[in-house]
Amino acid sequence: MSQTEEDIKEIKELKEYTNNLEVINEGLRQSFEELTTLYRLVEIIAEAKTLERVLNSLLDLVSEIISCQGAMLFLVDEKTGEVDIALKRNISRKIEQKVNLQNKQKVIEWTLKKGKTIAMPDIEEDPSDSEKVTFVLVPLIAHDKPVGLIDIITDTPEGDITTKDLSLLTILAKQAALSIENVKLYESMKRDQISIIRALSSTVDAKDHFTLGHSQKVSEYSLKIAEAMGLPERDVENIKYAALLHDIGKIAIPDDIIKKPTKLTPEEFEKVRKHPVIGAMIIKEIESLAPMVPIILHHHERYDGKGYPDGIKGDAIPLGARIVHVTDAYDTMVSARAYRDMIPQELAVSELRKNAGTQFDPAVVEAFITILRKNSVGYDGQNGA
Amino acid sequence: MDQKEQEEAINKILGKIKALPTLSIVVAKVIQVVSNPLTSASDLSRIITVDQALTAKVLRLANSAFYGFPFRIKNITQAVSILGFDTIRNLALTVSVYKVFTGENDSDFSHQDFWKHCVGVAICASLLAKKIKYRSPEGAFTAGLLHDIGKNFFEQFMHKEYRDVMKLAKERNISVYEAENEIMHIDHAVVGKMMAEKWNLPHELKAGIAAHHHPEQETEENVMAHIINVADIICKKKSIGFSGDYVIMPISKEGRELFSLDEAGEAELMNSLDKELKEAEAFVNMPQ
Repeated sequence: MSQTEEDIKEIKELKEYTNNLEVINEGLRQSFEELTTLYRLVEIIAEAKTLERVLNSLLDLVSEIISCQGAMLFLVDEKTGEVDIALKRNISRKIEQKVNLQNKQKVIEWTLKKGKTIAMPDIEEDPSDSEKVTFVLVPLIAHDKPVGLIDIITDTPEGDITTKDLSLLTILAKQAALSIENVKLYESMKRDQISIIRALSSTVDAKDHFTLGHSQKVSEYSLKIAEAMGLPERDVENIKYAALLHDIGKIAIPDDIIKKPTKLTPEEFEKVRKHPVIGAMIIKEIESLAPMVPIILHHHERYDGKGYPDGIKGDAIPLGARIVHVTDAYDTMVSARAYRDMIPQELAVSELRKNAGTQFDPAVVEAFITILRKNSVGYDGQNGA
Repeated sequence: MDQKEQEEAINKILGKIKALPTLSIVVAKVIQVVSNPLTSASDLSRIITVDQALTAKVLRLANSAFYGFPFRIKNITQAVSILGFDTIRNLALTVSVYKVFTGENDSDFSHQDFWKHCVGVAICASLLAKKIKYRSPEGAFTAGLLHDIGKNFFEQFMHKEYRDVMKLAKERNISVYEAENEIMHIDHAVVGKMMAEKWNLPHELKAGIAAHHHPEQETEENVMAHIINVADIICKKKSIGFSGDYVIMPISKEGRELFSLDEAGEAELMNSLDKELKEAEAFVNMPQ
């Protein structure tokens, strides 16, 4: 071999080597991009706090992995084990009919049982049907238990879907399934919590038939005021449930005092005044209800500082407690009590207005009257004042 | 037999392994493309359908009760999209390996019973793999089917000597591989390993074949070796088919721990094994 021939050979080898490197480099770049995408998608799913949001973002994200004309999300009913549509995206009636076929249901059951992501052609063999679609079925499995399934409708023929597509979808589905489980768990805890609150609140109301439904009404009014005042969602909810529990401390007060038709003696009144402190002590024991404790404790504080138990005033009183103080007073006035008949609504409103700034927070009173005026046809708060 | 004679005997066997027919080019290509993540079902289908007999056999297995898909899978593309790339790779592999060995039944050694043992080990291996969330239950299934492939070799190419091995094992109540070592100076696990090398089988399959008596010897694919080891013992205990062995080794401590096989765990596994075996008729009666 001459010198030139050897040189040429060497150059060729070098070129081949560089080409190989470029191929490897391109492969690495692609893998990196995929990982980045996947990481982002998984994070979005994990952040979603409600079932609706998890499901919606899952359907949003699927289209980043595979070209997707529409998609459906099925959830497995925990009690019956049945699979039902939970969410649809761009699903034509024709597609929906195809999904409702007996065969398709069986395929969905099979996929859930095997826990496998599959792509399959249109089952219905209709030659006149030019619109061929592929269904990609991705089971959602959390802790070895099927929780649901994504059914992706794509125009990519089933043969063109790669291992990579399927495994990306499977990883995404895995995370989604875990999120769905978490959200479900959270929502069921939330439901339990609400049941506990309702049960506790009805024990107080049950003590005295005159106050039946009082806590419920105070809660409804307080919720509306909190919303009208533009409080954050979390605070609104907190106020709503704290209002349900505001009188819980009364279970510690003897029945004969609570039901007494005549004026209370100073000693008896002293006992009644303890109910906010007792209520706060009871609720403090339930950790998840802790944010409600200050509202319960201070719902008898007056805006001018002459209330109880601590005699704090103005903004030092938690806003939730200031709201409940108004709605509690109002509902007590417009309801019959053991010791008196009900007071007409107009009179109650004028009482609120008269005591705004002394007993009541004027901003709360203002918001409340606006709500009452809006909701009550034939009532004109202006005239009542 | 002196050392020189022994070496000659072993060399003769090695020569025969070398002379084994290659697995089809089709299957070699299948193994290669399945490892590429950008392979599509159509790509894989184009390769398999070149071999019509293979295509038909793979489709028959794909449509068997073992997979139980609710409607008929019509072509390889569908089979890949529905059952997955690994499953189809392994079906193609199984069909091709099986094709190398066809033989007459013998009074001492029934091919039918032997194959049934292999199917049992395959199913049990895939159950064990799923139980511990091993990355490839499919691979465990195939390794189970192929774990005794060395015995097929002996049976087919050294038929007469292998009769003696079987007789010796039975008479002296020793395990088949001990008898093999005594008579052939090499055992079916070693032979199987060489066959796997010759056929370029994926490493996890080779590990399952080579180390199924001594899983501790396999480091890289140790879990697979344990899966096949335990699956093999379970099937012998349960008398699923017949492997030629009258001696049944106990399940190792490591095996019991790895797969949480206390008494209840073992009973549960045997239960699932029974259930799945009933659906595996298509594998037991492999298409010729």
